[in-house]
Amino acid sequence: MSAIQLDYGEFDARFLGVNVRFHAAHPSTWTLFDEIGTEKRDPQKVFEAGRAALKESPERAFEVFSVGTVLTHEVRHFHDFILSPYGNALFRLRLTILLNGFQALLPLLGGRKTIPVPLPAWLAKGDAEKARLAEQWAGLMGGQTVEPFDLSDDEARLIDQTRDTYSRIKDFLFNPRTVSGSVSFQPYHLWEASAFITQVQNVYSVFGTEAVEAFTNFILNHPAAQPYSIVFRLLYELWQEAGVAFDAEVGSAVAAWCLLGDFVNDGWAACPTVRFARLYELLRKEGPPPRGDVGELFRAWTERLSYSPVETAIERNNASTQRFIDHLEQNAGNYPDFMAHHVSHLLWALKSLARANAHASRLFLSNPKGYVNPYDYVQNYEAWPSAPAVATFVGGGILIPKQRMEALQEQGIIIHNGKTYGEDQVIVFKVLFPKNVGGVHLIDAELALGLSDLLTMSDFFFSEYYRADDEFDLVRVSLREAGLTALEILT
Amino acid sequence: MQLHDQIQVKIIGSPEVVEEIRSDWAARPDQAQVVSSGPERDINSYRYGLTEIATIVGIIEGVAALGELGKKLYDYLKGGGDDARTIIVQTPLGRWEFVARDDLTEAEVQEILRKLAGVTP
Repeated sequence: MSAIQLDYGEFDARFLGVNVRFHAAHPSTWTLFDEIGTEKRDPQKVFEAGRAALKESPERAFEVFSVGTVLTHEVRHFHDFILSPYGNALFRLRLTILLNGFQALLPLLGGRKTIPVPLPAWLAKGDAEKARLAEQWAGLMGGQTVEPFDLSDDEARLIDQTRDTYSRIKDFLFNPRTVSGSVSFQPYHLWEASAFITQVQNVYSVFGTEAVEAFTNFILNHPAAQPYSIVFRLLYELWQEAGVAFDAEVGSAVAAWCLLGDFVNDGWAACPTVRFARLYELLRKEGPPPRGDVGELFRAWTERLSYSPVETAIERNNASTQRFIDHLEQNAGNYPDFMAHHVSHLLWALKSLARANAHASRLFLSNPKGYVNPYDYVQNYEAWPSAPAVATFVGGGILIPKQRMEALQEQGIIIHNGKTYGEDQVIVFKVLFPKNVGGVHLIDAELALGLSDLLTMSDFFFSEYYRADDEFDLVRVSLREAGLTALEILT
Repeated sequence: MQLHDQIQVKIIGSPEVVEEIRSDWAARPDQAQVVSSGPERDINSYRYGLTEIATIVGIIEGVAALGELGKKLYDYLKGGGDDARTIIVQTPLGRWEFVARDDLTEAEVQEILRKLAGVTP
């Protein structure tokens, strides 16, 4: 069995930044990242590590190239998220859930020892089912009685609203019309294509031509890497059929155009997968376009496929965020007192998003080539909004000596989640890097991380999707430390 | 040791392992009952490196049946020579992501399952 990690990052829509992930089973990957993945690295040593890895094995080469370029991949996700109306809409919906849900949740938490989760699922159960679950849970709790759990009409209404909002999020994330048998083509495939094309450029810049071949071959041939390769493979075939070399700038332009739909005007036709399906059909018929003015290319695709212009989508998105800000500023006093801190945190988040979006939109609209040409983008990294960065250690955290932890802290790294283990070791679950990755500082990292914790808690209590989220482990632990056991409804 | 009669368990994994567990439970109705099973379309499934996943929810009767499940999970993780093999187990008290590359012993798998089931020494 090979012993490498297959995924090194994850875009987490709860965090306005980037998240690199390391598995507890592979502590050496974190050490490797520290040597070759961060901005403090020595380029010559990184290049040499790549040469040595190529000689060792395809798996080792993939690990080194991935770890060395993971930040570029994740930062591209971050920029796509803050630039696209799609990403912004998802973020606003999450904040709406927090705003509604916490008004019901916070009064419920005081003095309780148990709470069923997710709450909307509990609300949907009939009395007989609730009694059956309470009996089963009492068994799990060693015979301890599970307290009755009743809600006022207002609390129930607020929790119902979270259910509706999650359903809207699901509509954004999952398109049932692009599923056929066991094959499912979804918006995240376009996100991955955008980040993958950018990362390939970075692999080339950092490790050279041979590395690009090894990296793309590994991704294209590994069954578990399909999310990263599906769109790339389809685009690659377009150029192959036309008998010309794949053009990364035009391929990346396809991914970017698909992510920049106008949901206000075009409705669900703005879904990235629908835009891709239509554009792909056009490009198959006419062949991939030659490299040219990217703005013109966007305008041509928009007109041919009868969509709203990208410029309008960006403008409308900005107006939607501003409306949310206005609502909170005008109504802050109407929320219960216990919500005051959360309302101001939400206002900070919306204003940060609006600032980052305005900056990225200005840059993008003035020079779209600078965003879609992977070389230009990677070279001008510093011009785009910088991303707060965290590292998450999944699968039980990473065990490090206290001395190493102190050394990390001296570098400015903040241990966000961790606990002492024995006398001289610490289990670390999440760390925050001392400075944002990339250029223009518009988002405060600690506030972003604080908000991410709140949104994780919001998901834990209200989301009926993706209940196997590993971030929930930390919520469960912190609730237990506060004397509250969350009881998961499994059906 | 404290033990309760019924433990509700949800398992998320490849269609093959879920089907194996379903057949196993169906053959031993005194030890486990299938509540539901089928394909899972969770959009986040790709995070586990699974291209197609399924889930099964069942009620396990007692610690012996829990031990049987632990053995089955261990055998699955060890078989096939694929270090990316992943199974997620959820109970009302928590979840655990078992990955073959973590190279857990059978005793470790059993210990994690017992913790998830609230079985305390």
